[in-house]
Amino acid sequence: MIFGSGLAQHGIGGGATDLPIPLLFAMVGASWALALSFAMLVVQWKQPRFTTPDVDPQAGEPPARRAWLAVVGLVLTAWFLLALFGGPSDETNAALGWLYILTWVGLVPLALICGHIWRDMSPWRTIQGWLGEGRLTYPAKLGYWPAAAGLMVFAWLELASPDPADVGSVRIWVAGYIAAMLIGGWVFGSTWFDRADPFDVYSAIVSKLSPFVRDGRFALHNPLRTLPTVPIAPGLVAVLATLLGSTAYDSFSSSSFWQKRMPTGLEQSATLVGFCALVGILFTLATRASGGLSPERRRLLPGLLAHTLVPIVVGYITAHYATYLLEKGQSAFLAMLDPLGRGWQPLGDPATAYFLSEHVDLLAFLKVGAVVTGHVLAVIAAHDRAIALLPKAHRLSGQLALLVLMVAYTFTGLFLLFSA
Amino acid sequence: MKTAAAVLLLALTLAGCGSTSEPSSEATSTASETEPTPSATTEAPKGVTVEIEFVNGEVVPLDEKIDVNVGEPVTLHVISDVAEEIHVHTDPEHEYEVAAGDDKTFTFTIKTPGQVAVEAHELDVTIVELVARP
Repeated sequence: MIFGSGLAQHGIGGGATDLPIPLLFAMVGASWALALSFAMLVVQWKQPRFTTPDVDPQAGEPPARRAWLAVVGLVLTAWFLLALFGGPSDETNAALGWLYILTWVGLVPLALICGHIWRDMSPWRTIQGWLGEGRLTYPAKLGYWPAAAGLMVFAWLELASPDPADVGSVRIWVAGYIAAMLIGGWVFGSTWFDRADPFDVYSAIVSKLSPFVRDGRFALHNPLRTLPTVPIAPGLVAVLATLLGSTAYDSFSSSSFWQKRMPTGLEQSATLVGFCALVGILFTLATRASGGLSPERRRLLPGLLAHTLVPIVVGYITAHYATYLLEKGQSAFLAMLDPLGRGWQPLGDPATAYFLSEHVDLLAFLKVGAVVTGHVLAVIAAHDRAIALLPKAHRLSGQLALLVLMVAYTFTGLFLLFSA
Repeated sequence: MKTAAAVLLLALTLAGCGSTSEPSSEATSTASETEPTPSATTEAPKGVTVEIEFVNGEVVPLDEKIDVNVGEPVTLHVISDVAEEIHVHTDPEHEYEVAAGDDKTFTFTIKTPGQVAVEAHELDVTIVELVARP
């Protein structure tokens, strides 16, 4: 959360960070998470409910991209690049708030409400469409690893680099990202964006949890049915672990316990990577911890269960970044109306409305509610999938390690919200 | 499906319990006289005073949390042997400059609940974090 405690001076700078959630809220949330998790073991259902057996969850062509959204995407991107490269070279550059607040955090509610419209809007897909299909087949073994690497570099830039508000480094990251997208798209075609574009992949995964949009079109449905259709490829667990681990690191790094130690840049970077690695490794071990499976089958389990991490990621990110998006996002939006830093104020200079921050209990309630709801959805999804994946004799014991790990993730998340 | 709905319903009631049984934050805001925190002195007639000292390239306190009330005056009493710039991360920000040998006070109030960092710009550290509750 760079602008809260960073050294940005004007515009999107300034502003406080959230109060810690009260201990009582954390305790009640944790108790419910624990109780509901074990209730799940008791009310075991015997047949998978959320995967329809007649439809292969991994099949199906997505509908064509909508041209008007592609135009919107091109205009927004051009506007963003104008601000980033044409605007002031200090913290007042409007593109910083656009990238860190509106794009990075706004992507989650956008995908939850509108589905994967990132795919329609992506300017890189549009340009790739003009260049024609790819020259080479995307290597299946590479999977999501390029996207995971891109997310990790972005998280590092925002959370562990010497100065996240340094326009120079953001310009370099964005230039590198654009080059990778254009070259990758030219070489591998549209598959590149499905697997290697960090933002596109993030949006695609979160959109599977949208209750409003299915297969790219509006259709009210139970998100637990679309969640198992997250496309599985190598590196999927790494993508989700990077998202969860980096957000947890963001909480942790603002604690006075960590700040007092005055960690060096290297220590910060190593801790960030360590958080993400720990989340991923524990998940991999927990999903594999079931008896009665061949080694080959066991190796597939982390990927087959990876979608169950999505609600936990979305719940925790919602809790962690809600005020950041809704309150700091206001000034980030106003700043974007003045891309060149010339003092344009087409909407005047309205003060930020701090609705959530002013309602302390409501905010704490929403945060704990988001974390616990995410946890419960994850546990349901995991149980439902485990029935289909695990041999009958090991169904109960095989789920146990993952269940305990999910409780641990949720407790840690609540603890960080309480102590940050 | 029914199970999922029941579980979600439970999840919603959970937070319901939480919000009704949390009146403590209201109580503090109605108290007219605030108790000074350990690191504050009673120099100022009202509100909280934070003693800050820059000495030999270090600052005391360092990264301490201090409870304040929203709307209550917060005074920074700064003694410094070096030129420094102090940033208070409210919205809008406050920036205070001190020169070597200065002994100055700065007063402001926090209008929105949250944690407000008070930073030393040159040293690039957080001096205190003001935890402002309603």
